[in-house]
Amino acid sequence: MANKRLLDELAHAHYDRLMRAALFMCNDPEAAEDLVQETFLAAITSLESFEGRSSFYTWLYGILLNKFRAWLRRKGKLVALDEMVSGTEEVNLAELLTDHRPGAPEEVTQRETAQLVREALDELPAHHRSVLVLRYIERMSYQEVADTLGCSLGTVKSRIHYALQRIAGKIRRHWGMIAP
Amino acid sequence: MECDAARERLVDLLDEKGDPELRRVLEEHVAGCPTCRAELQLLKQAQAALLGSVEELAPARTYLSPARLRRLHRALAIRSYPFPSFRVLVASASIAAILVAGFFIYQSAAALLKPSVPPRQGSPPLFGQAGSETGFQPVHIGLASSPQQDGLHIVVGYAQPVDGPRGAWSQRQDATQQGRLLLTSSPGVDVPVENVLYDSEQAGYWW
Repeated sequence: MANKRLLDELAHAHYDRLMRAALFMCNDPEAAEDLVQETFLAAITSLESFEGRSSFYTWLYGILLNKFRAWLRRKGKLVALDEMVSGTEEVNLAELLTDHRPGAPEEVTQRETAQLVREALDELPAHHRSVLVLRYIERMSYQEVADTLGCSLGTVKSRIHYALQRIAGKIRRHWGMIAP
Repeated sequence: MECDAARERLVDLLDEKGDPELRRVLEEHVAGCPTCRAELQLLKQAQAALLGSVEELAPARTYLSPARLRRLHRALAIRSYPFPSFRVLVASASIAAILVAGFFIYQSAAALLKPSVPPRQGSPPLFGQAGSETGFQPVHIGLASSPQQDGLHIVVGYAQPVDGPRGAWSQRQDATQQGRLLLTSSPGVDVPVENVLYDSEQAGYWW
C-alpha cells in the first residue's frame, strides 16, 4: 500500500518528463512506456540507494538511461562509440563546409527535418542521446548536463559537437548538398 | 586562440550560460576565421533543426493517463508479490494438480474398463472324497474368472498330500480342465475335482 502511494507520487511528479525523454531516445511509444514503468519500479525497490546528492529527477533519469541502454542491447542497436568516431561513418567536415549547392535546409519541411533528425539520433550511442535530452528537452546548461550525468564538461561539449555534426551531415546529405 | 582549439570549443557559443570571457574570445576568432565561421554555422543549423524537431519527436503533453497509472499499479502488484518465485510456485502447483488429477482419472478409467465378472451360476462343484485314494487332503479352493479366457473358470487352489508333511502345500495352479484340477505342486499329480474341498468362504474372484 505504501509502495502504491509512493508510485502515485512519483508518477504524478515525473511521468511526463521521463516519458518525453524516453520517447526522444528510443522513438518507440510502447518501448518508452515500458522503460518509464521499469524506471519507476526500479526506483521504488532501490529507493534507499538515493543519497540526495543529486535531484530526484536526476536520479530517476540515471535509472531510465540504464534501462534504455539495456533496451538498446536487447534490440541489438548498441553502437560502440569507438566505431562511430573512428569508423567509415565519420562525418567529413571539410565536405560539409565547402559544398554549398542550392537547396537550403530552410526549405525542408519541418516534418522531413524531424525525420532526418530522428534518423541521426537513432544512429547515435546512448550516451550522446542522453546528453541531447538534457540539453535540448530539459534545457540544461552544459555544466548542468555534466553534473547530471556525472561526466566532465569537456565530455558533454564533445558529445554535443559530435551529435550536431551527425545531424547536420544527415540533413545536408539528404538534400544533395554534398556527394554521398 | 588557435584555430584547432577554437573549433573544439565552438559549441560554447551555443550555450548562453557558458563562460562570457570564453565566448568573447571565440567570437573574435570566428569573426576572422571563415572555416570556423562555417562550422559554427553548421552547428547552429543542426541545433535549430534539433530544437525545431523536439516537439515532433517528443511532444510536451500529459502522458500519465488513468490507464497508464493502472498499468503501473498492476506492474507494481506483480513485482511486490510476497513470494519472489511466485511463477515457479504456480507452475509447480499446476504440475502437481495435473499429476493428481491424472492419477484419479486413470483409476476411474481402469475401474470402468474392468470387465464385469460373470455371476456364478448353479451350485458349487461337488467335493469330498478326500483321503488316501488320492493322496491329497482337500483344502480350500477359490474360483476365479479370467477375462482373457472367455468364461472359462480357472480354479486356484492348494492341496496338501495326505501323508505328506504339514506345510507341503501345492503351488498355486492356474488352469483347469473339465473336472480336473491341475496342480503344479511338487508331487505334480492331477487331483480330481471331487477331491478338492470347495470352501465358499475362501472362494472368490481373484482377478
